[in-house]
Amino acid sequence: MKYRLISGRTIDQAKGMHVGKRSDFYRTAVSTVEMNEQDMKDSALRDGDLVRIASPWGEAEGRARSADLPRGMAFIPMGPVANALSGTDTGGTGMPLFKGFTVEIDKHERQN
Amino acid sequence: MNAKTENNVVCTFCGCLCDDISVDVDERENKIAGVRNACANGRAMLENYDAGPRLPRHNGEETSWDDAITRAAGIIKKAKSLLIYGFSSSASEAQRLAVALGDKLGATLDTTSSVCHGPSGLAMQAAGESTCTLGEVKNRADLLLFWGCNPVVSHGRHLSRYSLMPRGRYTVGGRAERRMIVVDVRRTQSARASDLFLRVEQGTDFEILHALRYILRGGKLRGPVGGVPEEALSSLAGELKSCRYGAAFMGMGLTMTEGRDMNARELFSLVTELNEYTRFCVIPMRGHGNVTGADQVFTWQTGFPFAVNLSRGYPRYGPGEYTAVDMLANREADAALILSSDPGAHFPKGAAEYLKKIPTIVLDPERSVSAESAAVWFPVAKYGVDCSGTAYRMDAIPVYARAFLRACRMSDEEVLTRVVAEAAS
Amino acid sequence: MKSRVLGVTGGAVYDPKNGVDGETRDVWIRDGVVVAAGELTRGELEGAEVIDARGCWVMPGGVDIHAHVAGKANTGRKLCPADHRARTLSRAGGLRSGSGFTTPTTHMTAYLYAQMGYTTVVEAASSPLGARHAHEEFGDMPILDKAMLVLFGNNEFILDCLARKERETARHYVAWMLEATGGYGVKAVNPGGADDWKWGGNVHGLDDTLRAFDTTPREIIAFLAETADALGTPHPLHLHGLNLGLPESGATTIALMDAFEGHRGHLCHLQFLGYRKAEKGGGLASDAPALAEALKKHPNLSADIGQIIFGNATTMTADAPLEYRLHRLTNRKWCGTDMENEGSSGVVPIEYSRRSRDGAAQWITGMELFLLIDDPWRVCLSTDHPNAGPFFCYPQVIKLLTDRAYRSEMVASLNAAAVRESVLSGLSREYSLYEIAVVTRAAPAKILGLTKKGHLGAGADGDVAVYNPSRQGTRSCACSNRARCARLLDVAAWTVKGGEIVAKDGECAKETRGETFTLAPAYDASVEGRIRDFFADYYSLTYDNFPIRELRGKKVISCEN
Repeated sequence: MKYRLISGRTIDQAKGMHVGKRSDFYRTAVSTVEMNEQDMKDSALRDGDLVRIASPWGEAEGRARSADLPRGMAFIPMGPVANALSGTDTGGTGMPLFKGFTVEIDKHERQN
Repeated sequence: MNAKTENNVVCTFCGCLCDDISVDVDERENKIAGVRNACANGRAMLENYDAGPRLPRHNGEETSWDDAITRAAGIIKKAKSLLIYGFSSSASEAQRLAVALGDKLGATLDTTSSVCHGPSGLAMQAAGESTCTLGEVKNRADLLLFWGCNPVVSHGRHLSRYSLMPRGRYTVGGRAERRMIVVDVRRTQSARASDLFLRVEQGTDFEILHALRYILRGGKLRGPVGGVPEEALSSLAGELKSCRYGAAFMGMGLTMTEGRDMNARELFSLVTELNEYTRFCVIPMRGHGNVTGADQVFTWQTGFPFAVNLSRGYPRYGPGEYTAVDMLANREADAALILSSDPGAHFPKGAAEYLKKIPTIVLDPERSVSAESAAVWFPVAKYGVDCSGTAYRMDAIPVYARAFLRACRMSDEEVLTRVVAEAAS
Repeated sequence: MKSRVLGVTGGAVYDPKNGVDGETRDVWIRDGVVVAAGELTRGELEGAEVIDARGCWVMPGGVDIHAHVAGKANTGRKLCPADHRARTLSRAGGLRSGSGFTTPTTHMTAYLYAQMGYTTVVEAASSPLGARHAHEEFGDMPILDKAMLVLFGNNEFILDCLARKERETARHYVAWMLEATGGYGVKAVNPGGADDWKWGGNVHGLDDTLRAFDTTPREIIAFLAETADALGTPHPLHLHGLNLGLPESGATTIALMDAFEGHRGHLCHLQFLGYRKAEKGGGLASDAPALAEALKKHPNLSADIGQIIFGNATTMTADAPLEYRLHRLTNRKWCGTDMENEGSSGVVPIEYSRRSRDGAAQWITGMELFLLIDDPWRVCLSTDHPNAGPFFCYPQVIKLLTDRAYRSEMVASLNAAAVRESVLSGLSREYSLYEIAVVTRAAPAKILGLTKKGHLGAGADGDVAVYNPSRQGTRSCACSNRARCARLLDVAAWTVKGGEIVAKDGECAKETRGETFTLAPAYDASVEGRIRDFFADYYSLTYDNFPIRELRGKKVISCEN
């Protein structure tokens, strides 16, 4: 399923940076994939399910969580997971397109 | 426990640089035992901070400070195209030294602005900016417009200490006297705190801002823009025009989406044009504690706020070419000096991966992702905690962050001074 | 420890404070201080470094009483990348690179001043909250000695006090603030006007009541002038008046002179505040004759001129409503900054054209002021850098003042209607080198109260500029107007700062560290409680963190009352 992906700060992501970027706390925080509740239902996803996310520039894994988002939009906190999906084209500005590109999100075959 | 309370401590996490934090210090252990007044972000930063002695690492293995300095100097001496990046969590004293180093070496210099509010800087350079200091928001603002930012999460005390809640000279009613409007693509925590939330279609901020400018000039919309009905936009324009003193705050929702600086420029132009009707200002929500300081230091020393190349012997400005993501993605740096930031974690993979392929020197109190794969990592002290330094708030007001813990490790200022001296010899 | 001696020998010395007008004299400096030759031992004389200044003019190091070079000036730099592409400086010999034409970077600013023979610069305006920033930039401005004027004219603590008739409290506040900010003098810009701007307004008359405080510009000026005298600050109230840039400005300035009530005062960039309405066709014309007359009646006042230089400039002032008006008039990008409790500023790039009627009138106004004010000891040369023009164009102004043929040439190139409305063509006065030394060295130093600057008598700081008469005005420049630009005293053969040679043949040779002059005026400590409360009520940061305690390289100049 195609989604518009945005990334940004969350409290846990920020805290996790200081707990340590190798910590489980951080890794969990930055690999959370927030999605619209109905979209999740349509894809037979429940909170905590492992999902595969793919963009034109890369792939990543994360855990789905329902959130107050419009349909067709997903949110991943800023960090290594979101960045595995971001491209380096800055359009001549220095700023990559961190928000608003299209990704495919599917339930991962592996669920553990 | 031997606890002493330090008051008026400066938290250096975000661009608010709150300077009224209270910290309980265990003097014997040289640790932070308690934190008051800080938001969740500042608290996490302070509570998790370890001021204890630590050794630098060379290729992951611990080594002495002297050895690490020699190795860092060696990398710098060999480099033909050094990228010096980061700056935003260092004090201006260190930033000044690093720019001086870059000048001496003909390096490329960039700050975290390039992946944060660089586009806002480009917008200011194109269209100007009507802005104010945060105390004006406290004293005067009766309308707050948050566009593409989520202060509840990113700048935890923004609403309570600076914008929504404070009672000021002309805002004695505090919250009751203010109107808070949030524009975003999703209902964030900040949206939930607002009086009016306008949800817009992702990627349509430019069109909506442009439509508002059009309405301001007497134009009539013929349909919705960005999923927002024309009546809502007319109504919003009316509110913006008729407030007593408006304050807009903008963030990554504008700078990181398609259009980038053009989005920011449209907002800045709208704010400037609103001054034909009332007083209105905009403050970019600078993310890191001293990224504004990096802007200032770069500008007064080189003439440009970020993306500066010095390889020809004089400063050249090149967003899109000398910005760090581009330098790394295009494989144009052959070494990197990372000052208090973590591109390894925060850059797109294509750029972050290249960083692992070149010798990098990282100065960071914490063992960041960049530090993990660095040739040399200096676990430097942190300004405002175990060393002192100057920082600039998001509204460009300078603040001095005094140390309250004993320094057991060198500061980035000290490391840079030593490295510069050795690289020159 | 062995002393370090430098001699500048055989030159024609211009030292107006000590009445020296081109006589051939030697100047001796020991450990950075000017001494009489008779004070030196034979050993010191023999071991001295000597500059052979035969055939040269020797002057004290230049003193710039009014320029915007540090702090808020940075907004002007950031706003205009094109200005920084227009002119660059390559790193060389241990010196830093830089960029900028109207707004050079800090190191470049210092080098350019030094190359011209200037050694002391005053940052004309800093808000209290911005002072720490200005001092940081000072730290990256080598060689020069520096001082900073602190803005008070739209300071709401003071406006509050004036409205409540609590002048004494306000006076203690000024003293406290000068020390807390490392400031050197009291500055006011469009007093009351910038505060009204926060409501979208402005003041126009001296007796207008402010929108939000029951006081007037006249009261603010009188209070600040009296306070400077009461505190004994070396420099008096430094005032940017009302109605800048408007045809009524001349009349307002003349009326404003009375507001000083006989206290000392300095009127800055008088040119911008010296217009009348043109008789034909509206627009600006010079009111210099009336101003010069009025100044005669106010011997307590001095002025710097703020001469226009044709070409690009960057306006940056704490006259926020003016800057907004300029933006609306020219449609150039505007950067405005309201500062909590302390006023408001703006930056707008601009261009002055000799073909424009108003531009020519502005240029004429400055020239007329220079030529009509009799007493050079009350006049300082400035371009209100970078508002009217860049500081490194001072040599062009010097040439215009000393060479009436060149001046006539320039006048002939101006908008004819503007020239017809003026008296400039009939003014044949030429400044002598002595008088130039007054308006660029002796007078500014005296007006600033810097007793060791601007002269070469025993005890003075060892700051010297040596000029080779045959090497004047020959250097190329990065300006599109260079075909019409003639200059005098643009290149120093040697510039000496604190007894060390810092520039040679117009190239900076080395960096030294300058000092920052500050004050510690006496005040009643009970005012601190009031200030603390004010911070809590109206500021967004704490009182305790506000004072600057870590200033390096500062030198406290005493206040005498």
